[in-house]
Amino acid sequence: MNPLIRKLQVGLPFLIFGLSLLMLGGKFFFPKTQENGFDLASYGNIPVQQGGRIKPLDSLARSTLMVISGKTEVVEVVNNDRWGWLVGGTSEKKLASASAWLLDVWTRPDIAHKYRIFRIDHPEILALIGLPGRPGSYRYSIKELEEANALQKIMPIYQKAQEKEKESRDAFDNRLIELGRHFQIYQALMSREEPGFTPPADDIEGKWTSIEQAINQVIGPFRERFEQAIRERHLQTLLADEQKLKAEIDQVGQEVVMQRIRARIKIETDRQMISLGHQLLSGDSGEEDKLLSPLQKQLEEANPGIVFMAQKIEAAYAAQDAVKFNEAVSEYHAKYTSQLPTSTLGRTNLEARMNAFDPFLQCMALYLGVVLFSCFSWLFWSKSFRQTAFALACLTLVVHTGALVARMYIGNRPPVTNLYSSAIFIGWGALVLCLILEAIYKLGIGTFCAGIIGFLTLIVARYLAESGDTLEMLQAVLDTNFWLATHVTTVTMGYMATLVAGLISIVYIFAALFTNSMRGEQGKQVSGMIYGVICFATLLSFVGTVLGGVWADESWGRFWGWDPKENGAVLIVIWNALVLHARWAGLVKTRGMAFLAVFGNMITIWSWFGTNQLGIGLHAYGADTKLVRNCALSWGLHSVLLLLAFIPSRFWASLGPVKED
Amino acid sequence: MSTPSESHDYVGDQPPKAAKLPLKAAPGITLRTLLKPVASLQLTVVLFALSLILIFFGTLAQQHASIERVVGTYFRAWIVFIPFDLISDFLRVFFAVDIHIPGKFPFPGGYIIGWAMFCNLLAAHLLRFKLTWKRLGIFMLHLGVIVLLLGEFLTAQLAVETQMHFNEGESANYTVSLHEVELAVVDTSNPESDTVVIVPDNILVRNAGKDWISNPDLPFDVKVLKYFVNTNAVEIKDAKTNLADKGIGTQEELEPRPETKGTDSDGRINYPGAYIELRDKGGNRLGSYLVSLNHRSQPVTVDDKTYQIALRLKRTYKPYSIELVKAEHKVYAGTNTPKDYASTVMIHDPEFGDRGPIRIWMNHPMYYRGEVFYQSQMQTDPKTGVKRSGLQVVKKNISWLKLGNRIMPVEYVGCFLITLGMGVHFVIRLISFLQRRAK
Repeated sequence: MNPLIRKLQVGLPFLIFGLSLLMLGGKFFFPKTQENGFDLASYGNIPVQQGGRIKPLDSLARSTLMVISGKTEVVEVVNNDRWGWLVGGTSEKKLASASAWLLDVWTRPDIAHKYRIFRIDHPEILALIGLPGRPGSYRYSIKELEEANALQKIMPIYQKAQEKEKESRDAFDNRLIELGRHFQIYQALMSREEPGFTPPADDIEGKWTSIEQAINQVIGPFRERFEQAIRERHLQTLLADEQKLKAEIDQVGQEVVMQRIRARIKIETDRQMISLGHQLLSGDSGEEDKLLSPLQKQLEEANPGIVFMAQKIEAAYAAQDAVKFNEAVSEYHAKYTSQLPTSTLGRTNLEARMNAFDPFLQCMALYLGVVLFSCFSWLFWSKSFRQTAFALACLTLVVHTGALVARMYIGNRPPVTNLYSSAIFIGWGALVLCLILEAIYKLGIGTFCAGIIGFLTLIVARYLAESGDTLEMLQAVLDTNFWLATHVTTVTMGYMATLVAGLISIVYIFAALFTNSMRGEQGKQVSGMIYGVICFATLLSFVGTVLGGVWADESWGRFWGWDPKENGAVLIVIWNALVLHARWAGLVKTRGMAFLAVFGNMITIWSWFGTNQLGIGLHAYGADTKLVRNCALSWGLHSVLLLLAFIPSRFWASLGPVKED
Repeated sequence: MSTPSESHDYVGDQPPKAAKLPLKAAPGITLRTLLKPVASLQLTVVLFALSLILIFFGTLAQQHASIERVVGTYFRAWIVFIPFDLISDFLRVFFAVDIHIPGKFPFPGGYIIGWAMFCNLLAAHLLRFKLTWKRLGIFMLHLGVIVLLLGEFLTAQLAVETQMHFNEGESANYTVSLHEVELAVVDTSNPESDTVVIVPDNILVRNAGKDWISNPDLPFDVKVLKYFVNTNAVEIKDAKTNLADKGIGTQEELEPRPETKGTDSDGRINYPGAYIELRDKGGNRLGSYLVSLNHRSQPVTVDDKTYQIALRLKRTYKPYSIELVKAEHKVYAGTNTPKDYASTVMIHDPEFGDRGPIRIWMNHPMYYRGEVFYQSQMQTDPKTGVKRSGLQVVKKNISWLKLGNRIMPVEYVGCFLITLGMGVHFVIRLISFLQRRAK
């Protein structure tokens, strides 16, 4: 062999490993911090409180944008001529990062309202509002929605949908309610009701003061006086035109007229209050105002951080003055952020860093690499590519583990708390298990399976993240770190091991059907792998399920309640036991066991996602229509695989008679 | 690693040589030949498959009925008739295929499958297994399975779950069963104590639209005109069709609702309701009334004596009362997500004296007189701010296993044995695997 090629073969694993490490390091240690000169990274680092959790502003911006638009940045769909054939004629151009979007919402509403962020893809809802379908994006701006008079058109139907019983709502109702919730979220952000900026003096876990609250504390006492004045003015105009008033009363009745008047007074008072709040916050009352000036002083004394935020940081951004903005942000950090306990700051800083680094996106790329190199190893340069895949998988393990640990530290929780984190954890567990298998068997199958499961679970996780904050707080029943750490983690590992056994089986089925590589020792080794992993899966899923029973017994005195999620878990236990007993009974050999293990995948998907879709038992943490479609799709694909079982073994390249040619 | 069927020598295609039974049932037919099919491993696999199907349908069925009802008809039953429509449900939810299949098919229920597994396992051990150190783990594991099966059977027969609800500052001397109701007829004429006569819901349901319910203890006869499993109370829409002519039923009527389902997340219970007709012992009509869980009690007068009637959750009175001294209900700041709740109670027992205060919170139940009290619900009235606590009160199936003052359910033993068995077997296999490699 050419010595150069040999050297290349030996050096390849090191080369790929080193390059990947360099790229990851660069991304992690030198994140892009500035946009057009604005230090948005530092701004996004400001700790706030929302949903009962303290988080960096950047996380708030990302999760809000994710919920509303399904993306973590504002994008614009552009027609792409050159590569159009590749990406369906359109591609996306980034308009603003999440933090920039948030600043625009707060300081430059005219620009923010033009961003197309509200995702509406239900044709009936679009028809109702009178908006054109926008395939490829389906996102609409506030301005478009306002021009189409969306709110007035939706409101009556939205209210009807809300009044309906949950079970009698159809897809249209659910989507409408979802859209309504998106509007509310946006409204809460706009009105500065969310998030909280400054913690109460004595208790950092208590409710933080939001800007709206701070203003209301100061001007709230004046509301009645405002209302009084407006009411008097209204009555005067009404009484001035008695004829008209009488006509109206005759037409709709006194009660309705009174209601209308009250509503009008309320709207006007609200408007006045808001306008006063704005003046108060902006700080420029012009000359000394008798009412405003003392109030401003009062606001500043009670909430200096909030006034600073509005008058320095946001004012600078509104004026697009990058230098002033950056100065103000760092001053804010020095003056106010530094007041918080270091443990809190450590968490929010780490979270902001994680947002910027996006470790799971890096992992996805790495997993793809692992799969590619594993495949190459079956074609040529076997050892070299196998080692490359292994090295890359080890690097992935470092990143994946780091991200997992960081999430645990930020949330102060065991690894699995919701569906999203279960997906991430399953990917991680599969990686560990497969790396062990690869270290023992050295067939390239371990790394291949690690890559596939890792990549797929992270795709699932990315999709699940659309539901909002992935580190959300937990319901009281679930709020028990001990049981979360034992039961949930073990059960999830049981799912993982069952999936790994199924995937190795898929590899075995294809290899045995189309190649003769599964003859002899290699086939025996793969058989041993499948068998061993199923044993492991049985143990984990059983122990996990039992721990769940113990938890339930400790919590409400019922060891086993037969609820959908419990049933899902026990299905996996029984299925694995069935496979083992069928193997011991001699009912199946390796091929049969592989098919049974593939069916095990279908059961796992049922238990993991399917049971949640039925409506919700005590354990279910989310339901979704898109998930339903993907469950069905995966079952369909697995069923097709199962059909291969009907091919008689003589047609299998690795099982039939040896061909002499 | 060798192929698994070879390493597991105790189960294989060859008949095992160990464990010959000396017993003879009849000439030519040994107990062995009788037991052999019962002990077969193929049967084990079939039973596993049957249990999977049963659990799968038992899950789907929870889209239509409450968990309690499904457990009763599927898992704690000898035979179950599964509607084909469950299959169409599954297809509709996941594949958007809308087909309706009428009819039902019979299927072995949880008891048949459970007992068959039990027999299969016992027979297998009588016939095939020889107790050796090597199989110690398997033995423990299988023993655990037997304990678990028996435990679940006992739970089905014996365990009683009830609830106790009270507002902060109040006391309660009874628990209620959330899934059973009773028609209570209360005589309040004695200032010292009330006299209560109960008609359980199964009698109400059985006689709905049929016979008069009559009993010497009841001051009047009752006829159930109509019974609903779940209802809403609404304003009367059409006075002509209204079945009630006295009491609350003249102002409100019942609107039937679908039964609560096992797949609901909100833990709502059914609100049963009924229209009943009453006549005095002389056969004179007293009127027709509406009773439901939505309503409080209403008066009925017979022979100048007034009784209170109500349909209420089935009560079990205790020889003691519990006072809710303090209720805590914490939420995450700025949200409605509950963070923590706890009840501090005092027990007032005329027999054993007062006890407390005792704080009950998540995973920290109170044990008293053979029952366990778990913190289950907590509500704060948004208007008055009054907190209402719900305790789950459970009578454990077997109280022979005690650890300190804690009562361990029998399932713990089974699960512990299985887990330990798995662990032991794993270690034994690992040692022999390493020994083989070393050679």
